[in-house]
Amino acid sequence: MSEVKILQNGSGLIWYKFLKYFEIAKVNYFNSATYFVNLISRSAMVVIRIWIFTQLYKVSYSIAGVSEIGGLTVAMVIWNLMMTQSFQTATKPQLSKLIDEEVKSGTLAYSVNRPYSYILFHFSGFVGRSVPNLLINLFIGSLVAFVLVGPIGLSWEALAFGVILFFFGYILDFFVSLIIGLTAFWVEDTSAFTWIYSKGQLVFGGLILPIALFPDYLQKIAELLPFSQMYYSAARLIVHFELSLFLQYFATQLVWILFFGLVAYYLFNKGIKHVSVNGG
Amino acid sequence: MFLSTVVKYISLTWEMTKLSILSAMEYRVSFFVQVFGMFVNDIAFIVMWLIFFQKFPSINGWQFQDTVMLFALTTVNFAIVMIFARGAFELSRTIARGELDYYLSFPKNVLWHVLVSKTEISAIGDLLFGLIIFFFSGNISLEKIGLFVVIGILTALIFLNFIIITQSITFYVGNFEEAAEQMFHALLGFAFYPQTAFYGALKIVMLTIIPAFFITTLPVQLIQKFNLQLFLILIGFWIFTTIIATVIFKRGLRRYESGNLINVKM
Amino acid sequence: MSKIVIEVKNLSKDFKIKQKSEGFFGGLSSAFNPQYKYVKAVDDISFSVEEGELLAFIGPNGAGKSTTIKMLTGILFPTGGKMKVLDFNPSSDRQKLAYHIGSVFGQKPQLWYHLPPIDTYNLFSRIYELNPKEYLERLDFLVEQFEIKDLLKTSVRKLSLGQRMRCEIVASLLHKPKIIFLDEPTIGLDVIAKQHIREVIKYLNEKEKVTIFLTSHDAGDIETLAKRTIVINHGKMIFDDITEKLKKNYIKTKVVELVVENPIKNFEFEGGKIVERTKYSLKIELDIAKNSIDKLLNYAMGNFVIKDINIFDPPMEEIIADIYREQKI
Repeated sequence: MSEVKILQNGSGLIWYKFLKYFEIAKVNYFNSATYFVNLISRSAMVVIRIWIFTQLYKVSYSIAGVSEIGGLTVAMVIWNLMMTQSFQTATKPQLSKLIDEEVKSGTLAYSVNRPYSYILFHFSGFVGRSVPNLLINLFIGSLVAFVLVGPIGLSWEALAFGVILFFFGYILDFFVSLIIGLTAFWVEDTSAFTWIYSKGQLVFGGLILPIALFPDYLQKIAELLPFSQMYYSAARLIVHFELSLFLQYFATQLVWILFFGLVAYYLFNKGIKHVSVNGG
Repeated sequence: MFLSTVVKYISLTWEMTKLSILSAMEYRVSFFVQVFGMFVNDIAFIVMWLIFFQKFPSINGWQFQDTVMLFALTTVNFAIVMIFARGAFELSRTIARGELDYYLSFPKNVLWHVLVSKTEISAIGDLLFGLIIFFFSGNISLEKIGLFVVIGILTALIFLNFIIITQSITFYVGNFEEAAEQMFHALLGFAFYPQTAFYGALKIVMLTIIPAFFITTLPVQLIQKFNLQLFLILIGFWIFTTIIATVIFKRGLRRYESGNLINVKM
Repeated sequence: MSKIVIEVKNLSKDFKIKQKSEGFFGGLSSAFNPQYKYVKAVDDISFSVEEGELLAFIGPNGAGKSTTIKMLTGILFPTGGKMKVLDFNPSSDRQKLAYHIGSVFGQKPQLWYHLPPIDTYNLFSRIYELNPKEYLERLDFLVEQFEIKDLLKTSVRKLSLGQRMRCEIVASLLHKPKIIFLDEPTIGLDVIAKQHIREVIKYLNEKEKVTIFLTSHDAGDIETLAKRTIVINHGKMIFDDITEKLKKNYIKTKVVELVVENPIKNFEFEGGKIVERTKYSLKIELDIAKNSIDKLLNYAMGNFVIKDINIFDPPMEEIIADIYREQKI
């Protein structure tokens, strides 16, 4: 009944579209949120990981005899890592793998025929799957970090600007994962690309060693690469806010989003043609 | 009698693995991409630690050289498990989907059969990486090589037991697949840190639930400087984990055969 | 007096199924206060099978067929009753029994997908610990009988379904099993391939005296192969007799589908009940007690210009439903 009303009402169309993607996100959310045991174990891993970082960096800093490196204290480092890890691990299972499977199994043919944008569909799913994990990781991670290293000074601007960086970094991650998944149109096995990507994130995404702790020359390079702009930049900004840093990071993000967004769009269209030529 | 059974199973393991590799080589490109991709993957990982040690050259005596040896050992024993017993990683899924039936129809030990039925091609990349950097890890002597081989195999077996135990929990709890995977990643993840940084309660965790100590710290120490006592402890831990793995799997299999598993499609 | 190879007495199997609740809180509550449902999958069945029998074991989905077979092969253990297969207790001697039985499950292939069948055969010879010389002789023999010589070195993924099935059956025969459990061996095959497989199965049974335990949803499989049929439904055996009796007594109808050139106005045939109809087609259920197929066809051809005809047996479910109804009386 309401569907008919919405279709007749032109402005309602946008609302309808939003509802559609919200439903998709919801389905993905419930799908991943149901396994209680897995939730617990995932949280336990978060705890242990942060615990390890705390001990590692406390010891490392004390041996180096400093209280601050690259502008970050141990506490800041830990909160930084907690956030980078939470952001990044929330996005499993890998979108690229899902798309790879879709392409390989041929269900892509169905997705493309559906009356919604393929990319938006996957974005909704991406969001839906990661939101519960993200919230839980952040919640537990914050508790642990608080207990182990205490609080760090958080300003409203840090959070506000940090969220902006997080949002755009998220989109950036989405595009790159999408692109990797789309290479399934041409390549037998995309897992090699996924590994390289995740290792790029490991090394240059500040997952274990914050980029602020890199040697100077390497730091500059790393901050220009897309990996650092996905989750590290948001975490870094929140932990120790500097407006100039925000502007630098944000600009870099936009450049990369534009670049990868275009590549994704291009690959997608090329891929679809490839499918119709080869019959899938 | 027992020995001949062991020999039989070892040679069958070799046959199975050979077949898996042959099967994968049907797709030449994918095969090499996987091996090479994993190799690059591992290099990136150690590069990250290289950067770390630039800033923090020594962690309570642990230096980059030690991390290199650690990597060599861990990647090699991980590779051994992945090449000869990759089925272990899918044990949970196999149980949950009722696919053990297939293995139960053969006149061979079920657990063994599940383990050897798959091979991870990319692990060949890990193996190559591990062996290569072993030779960059410091003074190499014949003794060291011998130790590396023996201890490598021993730790691989301990690692395997850990996976069997965590995956077999599915017999009792239902969908433990993801949790088991998490625990595996935890173990593997923790394995690469400079172990000398850890103290207190965390150290205890690494000795027990996530036995990173036994798979990394202890073996590396033994290879750098052999100590009979420590070696016996390692062997003891291996025997201990083997017993637990066997018991948990056997009891679990009994449950499976009762048909009363949760989530199992009968 | 032939040897008894399978003996089942009062066999029962109960399942305890945990009731899962929805959502996050449902998951919590079922973790702490689990609710169970008890299902009797197999309920007190008894039968015995002699060496060399070719028997069909049929029933609708969920009737207890797979459960029974799993118990006989040692995959599941029973909750009640006794069973003996080739003098082994399947539950306790599963591995030992496995050397003497073979199984082919239509849905679960044994052959390695990316490799040629010969590789799997060689592997099996090692797994079943076959004497190399005997194995090769046996292989040659089977390859000739099943006509798979040209398929031996071709990757399984390149074979047609029918070819694959033949190779799968050979795989299950390498170790000279005394009993074979065939589950849906002709599923998905075309008419000719089905025929071929059925011949192969018949040959096995007649020449090698292999006892065959066949499950199938295909009435054709049963009619052409099995001398004896056991029907199981809701865990209980409701029929155990020669297949002929099943046909004679229980296949009472045939379904005939007709597609004609000109629009159908009237179709009157004694014993023929129209179950479906469109402008140009008809589906008629013919009671073969009341009238015969050929008379129906004569009538049809005499009154219409026929474009297509299909003739079906009633589905297994219906036959069994009939048996069940009859039993109640």
